[in-house]
Amino acid sequence: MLRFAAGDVQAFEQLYRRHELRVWRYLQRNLGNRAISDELMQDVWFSVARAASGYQPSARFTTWLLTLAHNRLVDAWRATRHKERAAAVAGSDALSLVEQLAADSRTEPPERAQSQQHVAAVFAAIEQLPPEQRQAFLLHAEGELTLAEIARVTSTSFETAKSRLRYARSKLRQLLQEYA
Amino acid sequence: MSGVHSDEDRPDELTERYRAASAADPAGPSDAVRNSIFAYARTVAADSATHPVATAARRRPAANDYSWRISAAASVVVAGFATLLAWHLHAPTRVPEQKPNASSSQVAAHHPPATAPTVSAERLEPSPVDRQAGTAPAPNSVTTRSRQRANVTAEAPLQAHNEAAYLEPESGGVMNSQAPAEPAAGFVAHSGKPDPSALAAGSKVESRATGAPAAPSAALAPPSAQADTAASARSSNMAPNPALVAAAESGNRELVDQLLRNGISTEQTDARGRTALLIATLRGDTTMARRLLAAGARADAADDSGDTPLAAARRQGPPELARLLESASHP
Repeated sequence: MLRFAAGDVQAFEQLYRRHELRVWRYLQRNLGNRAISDELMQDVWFSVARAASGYQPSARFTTWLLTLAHNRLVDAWRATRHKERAAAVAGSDALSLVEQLAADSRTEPPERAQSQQHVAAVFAAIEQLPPEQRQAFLLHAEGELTLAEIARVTSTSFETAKSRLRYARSKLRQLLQEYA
Repeated sequence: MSGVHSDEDRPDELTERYRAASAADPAGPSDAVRNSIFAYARTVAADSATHPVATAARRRPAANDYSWRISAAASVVVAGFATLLAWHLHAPTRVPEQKPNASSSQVAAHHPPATAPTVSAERLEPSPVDRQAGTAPAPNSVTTRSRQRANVTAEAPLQAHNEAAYLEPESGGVMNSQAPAEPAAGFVAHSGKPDPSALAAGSKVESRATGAPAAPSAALAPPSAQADTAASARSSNMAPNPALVAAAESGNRELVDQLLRNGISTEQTDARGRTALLIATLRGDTTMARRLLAAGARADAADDSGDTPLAAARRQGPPELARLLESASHP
């Protein structure tokens, strides 16, 4: 980030590639919509590029980056009232993904087919989580953030983040019980 | 921030399963998004290279910037200072009369008796305007509270006397009911003439309140002058009982002693011409009668009806008192 602030564009591209999937998956798994996820992804990295000149490494870059992504996510939900439609949209995407993976499993060898079904089940279970619990779990599992960092990103207390993550794990464990 | 770790922070089996599933998912942002982001980054880098100052100036402060806290604290300080300044400028100016009352006893001594206590009290106490404005009185001034304290000290025995007078209307109750509320003020309310004994008490209170020595008062005047004053007070039916008579009537021996030490004349009488010794005799108070006799009271001083202490003692006793008065009348 500091190198990019000094004018090194290659440094930015390296930074992007290092964190690309982490950010995009966080957005996509929360929104369940690729188009909106791409749009927000672009917006997030534009913000990163603009803020580079004044960036001060007071926290981990990943935390700062996911804070930007989380704020864009919340803004998008507020702007489009996506929260109400998220279930339908995400359900359709998740369903298509599950269907696609199921269809692929029919043409794959049995072991690989079982693995793809398991992947689809994991994503479907994540889609069923309440938004706050899903964010906490994705920030932990995808963003590799600690509880304190999750609390900072979501602007909540440590205990709240801890509680959300615990409930998310409990519910996922229940939903994925048959795949254990 | 990341230094806080707990068991919840450790990736569990579910997290590993998710990461495995996520790694198997080939989905990612489109190339168009990636190219767009890179292009924008190049533009920003080029812009900052050509206009570094303008870019820095255009930069918005971060949301977690602490500068707003400094600004907020400075605003609070400035607002507080402005409030203090406004309060200071709009505070009411002090009345010049609020100076120490070094001359309060002089005022009491040199003013006409009928007005001296009033003037003194007004000068001693802060004006209502100052009290409303919350200004503190001068350090050595007499506040209302201290004034009241002094008055209560002087009023206590007389108040008891007044209460006793209400219980005994035949012993001057009519006169007592018309007694002024503040005997320590040192003057007769209705007749407008000074009462030497009361003035002495008032002067004592005044000197105690102000801390200044009491000025010579009528209490230390020759007994003849006091007798004249008592006679003039007796001439008016509206006059209250003199302090010594009132003290004797209330049975307050301490106050009687104090008044006698101050030189109060034992010839003072009430409206019916009764001396303190006659009243003590009528009350059967041998001790007080002995003190009055020692101070020079006459056992043969008759009241308006011709009754004397000796006759009263012989009439109603006790015998000890009668003997005391007999020995006093025949030394």
